[in-house]
Amino acid sequence: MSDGALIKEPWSALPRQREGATLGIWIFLASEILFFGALLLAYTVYRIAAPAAFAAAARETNVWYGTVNTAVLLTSSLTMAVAAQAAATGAGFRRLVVWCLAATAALGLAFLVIKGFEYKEDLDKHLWPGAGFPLGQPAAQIFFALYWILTGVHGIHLTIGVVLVSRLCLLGALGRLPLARNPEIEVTALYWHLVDVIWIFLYPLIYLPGRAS
Amino acid sequence: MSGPGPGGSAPAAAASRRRGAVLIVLASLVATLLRRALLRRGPDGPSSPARPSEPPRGAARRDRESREEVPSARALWRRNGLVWLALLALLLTSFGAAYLPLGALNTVVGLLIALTKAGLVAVLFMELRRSGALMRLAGGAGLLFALVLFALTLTDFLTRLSGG
Repeated sequence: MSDGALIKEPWSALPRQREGATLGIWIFLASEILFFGALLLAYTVYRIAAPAAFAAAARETNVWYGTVNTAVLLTSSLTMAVAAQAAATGAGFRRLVVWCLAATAALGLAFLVIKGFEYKEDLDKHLWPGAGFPLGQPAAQIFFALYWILTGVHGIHLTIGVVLVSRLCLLGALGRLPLARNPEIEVTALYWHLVDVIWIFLYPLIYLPGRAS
Repeated sequence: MSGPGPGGSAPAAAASRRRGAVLIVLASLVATLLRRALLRRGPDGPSSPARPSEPPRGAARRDRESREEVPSARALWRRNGLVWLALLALLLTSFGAAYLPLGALNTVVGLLIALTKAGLVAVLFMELRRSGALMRLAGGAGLLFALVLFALTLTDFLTRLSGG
């Protein structure tokens, strides 16, 4: 087994190292939950203060872009989960892992491309706070301030994820990185799933309010 | 949170303090129950007995891993594919439900579906069920403190902005 190549100091056994890496990333994910939690709290408070304005503003978002993007990210989580679980078995899944990592990165890129088209449409409709904002209620501008911040920060997280996954895929395909039982894949997978979970919460808060009227 | 807020009278402030206390107690109760429920399941599932005289942890884990059956690629795709189908179904449900005139329930339904989807990703894709209790504790700590953040802030705003 190429376990020896993966073991780093201070670990002496790979299972222990994997456990340590997994705990480390979960602690980081907990801090990310709090980071986005604070942003979502700001959204919550302003929405409680002005529910009608938020509903009107949310209607201006493009629900098709949002829904398709959510489906894209959910699918990327599927391919990432298969890649991580296949790599964790330590059996000969190398091609499967590399292809699933490539699919994950490609789906992440697709999300960013679709988001780009959506941002262009938002800019064309002048949907940013300031003079010339199309809706009358001031709180609607707050909704869109939060929209740009939330989706922008999420997009940065996703870009980092795409870079990490692409690196694993390339190095794995070139044979320069052993993939079997590699803790890096586990860690990257958990980070990727968190980016997906964050979007799962952003979707009903940004795209779905105000649709029933 | 001591004393009446701006423009509030003493009885109204007392009422909002009571409501705040109730919210905090409820939140801690939920969090405790959640933690206990999550920690009861060890890495081998709910039926695993306590392991008082364990060999060095690295060796024991290696034995467990080699005794486990290695799943086939098809099994991996089927197991995760089912979760993916459930997630897509929930996505379509939340999308459709948003267009139904449910009033305040629209938000509740949307958030409940989001919670379910997140739960599926966390337990099944992120394998929280198979990870040790330590991982669940770490992730749970993030959730707990986010809950505290929301609960404490909303005791102020829910009672202030809605005219209470």
